[in-house]
Amino acid sequence: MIFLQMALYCEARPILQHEAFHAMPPVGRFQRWQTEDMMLTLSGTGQAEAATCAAVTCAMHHPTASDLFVVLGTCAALEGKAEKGRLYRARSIEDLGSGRVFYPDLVLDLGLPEAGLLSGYQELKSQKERVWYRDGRDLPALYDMESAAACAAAGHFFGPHQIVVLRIPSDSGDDAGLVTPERISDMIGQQMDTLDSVFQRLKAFSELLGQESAQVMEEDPAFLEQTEAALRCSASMSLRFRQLVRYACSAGIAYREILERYVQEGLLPVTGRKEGKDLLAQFEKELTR
Amino acid sequence: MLSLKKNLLAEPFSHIYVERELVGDRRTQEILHRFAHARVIEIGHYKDVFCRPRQHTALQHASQALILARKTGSLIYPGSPVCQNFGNHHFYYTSLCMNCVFDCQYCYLRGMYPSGHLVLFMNLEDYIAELETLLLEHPVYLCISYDTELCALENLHGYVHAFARETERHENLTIEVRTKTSCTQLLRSLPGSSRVIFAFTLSPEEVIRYEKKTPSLQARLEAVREGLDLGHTIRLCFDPMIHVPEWRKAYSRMMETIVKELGEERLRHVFDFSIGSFRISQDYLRALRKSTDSAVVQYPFVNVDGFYQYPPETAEEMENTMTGLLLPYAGRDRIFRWREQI
Ligand code: SF4
Repeated sequence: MIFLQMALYCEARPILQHEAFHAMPPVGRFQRWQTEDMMLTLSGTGQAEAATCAAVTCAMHHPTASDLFVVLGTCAALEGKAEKGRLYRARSIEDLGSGRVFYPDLVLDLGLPEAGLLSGYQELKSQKERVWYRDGRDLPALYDMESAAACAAAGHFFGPHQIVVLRIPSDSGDDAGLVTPERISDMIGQQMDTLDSVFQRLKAFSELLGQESAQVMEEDPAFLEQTEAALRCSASMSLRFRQLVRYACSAGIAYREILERYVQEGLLPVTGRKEGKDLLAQFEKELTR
Repeated sequence: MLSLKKNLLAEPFSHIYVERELVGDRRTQEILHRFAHARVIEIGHYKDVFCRPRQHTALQHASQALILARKTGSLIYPGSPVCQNFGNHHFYYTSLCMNCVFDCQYCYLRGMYPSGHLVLFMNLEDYIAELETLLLEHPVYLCISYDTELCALENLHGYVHAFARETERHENLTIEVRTKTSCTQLLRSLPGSSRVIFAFTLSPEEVIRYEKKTPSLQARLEAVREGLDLGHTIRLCFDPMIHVPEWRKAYSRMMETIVKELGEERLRHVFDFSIGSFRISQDYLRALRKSTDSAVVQYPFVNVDGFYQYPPETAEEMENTMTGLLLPYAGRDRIFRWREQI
């Protein structure tokens, strides 16, 4: 599942129209929509809203190793190098309140230009003096008022490779008043092709993460428990038995055939703990020959 | 899944994180110039990236970022009990790098570090200064590539050359450069020295399958041959020996290849041989097992004093077998076994 968090309805509108989302009951003030593999939630603007929304989403849905958390929306451009209307991926998100910097892992290649994102608590006009010190850096710098807190909250549930922050600069702070909801929708709408391919890659990445975590093999718990009972396992024998099974699975050894042979030969179930220990030792020997 | 991975993941070293205080540093700039297309990200401290919680080390290994940092605190450490010390009393190791460009499935680094990205420490001068202080007290035997693969990145940092130069300045310094590379270029660029030991880890191809991105046995042996012919001091390490199916056959086939490629005469000139079956601290094994389902780490090891290893009789048999394979070509005094030093 991709948990997509956006601040405003006008930002989300082109995406809701493009993908087959259906509305879900809101949680508190947070409106939500869902497709088969994405859930879009509107947080409202500001760090507190963004953190609360991310925390609520995570607490309700218990993200797994294959889920992703994506912050998407418009922002302000801090200097000439950031192109208005273009989709950027934030490679660092600096909380202007605490000075803490969050680095999303960039192992997933999204093919997007990257930017440094400063995330503050006031509108850019009043922040300008504090952020202009970044002049001269060889990197587009962006400014928003949600990502730092959203990432901090999501970071309690997701690894840094599962968090992606995407921003489209819509103004330079001074001209923010000129940016109407319609213009914002237009701007996101114009990036829909790029967003489409980004979503495809995010879905494929989520699938990859799922495959990676599925590599840790799980044997049928009922079968393991039955065999442990038949072996009269103590707690430490159970641990040993499970490790042997895990090894056998990873080495591609048909261990069930060995256990079935024990049953046919009348060795399993055992009559006492001592026999169980001996049989477990024999099982280990056969596996590690 | 491989192609899915390849398509989705960023190229290794496509991103380079640099500690802010190193940005103007000459050596840092030289490294950045070599990666003209990499995206450079300034950071405060390497731990801001390296120590983030819940990282996916396996994916990071497949798409490694480079982190250039300065190491503080102690830089040279006494060897741990599981290190083979070759009879050297003042046995030390140092970490100029965290993590490795290779990706051996049994490597304890996977269980030791929270990240799969590669950290390269740039403050070589501090390492040398600490080494010189130690050398004032006693001779030093220093492993410079114990838990990484320095040779593979020598073009980038030149650290092997730098420490080799130190052996010329200090008669009481011996360094060991452990490697799985086919580092012929490096060998050609250094004069042979009795105090610069190149320790090649050799494994059967059946084990090299688990040593992702490393050169083949053949390629390693070509480097060994060239190293011997150039007069370098060469150690051959059969450590860690890995229990794979049919391991006896695998190791004897490997020995046949070694004899065929090097010839008996060259084997006589090998400085020494080291043998050790796989062992790992219990904490690292726990983390390693979480990161991979590879049979080499899921093996039902036994815990002896906090270190997981093969059951004693299995380990003994493996190491005896390897010793037996070597004995026709090397005297017993040139074969070091980890088990015998403890
Ligand atoms: S070459 Fe050595 S340090 Fe590198 S991954 Fe393999 S075992 Fe680990």
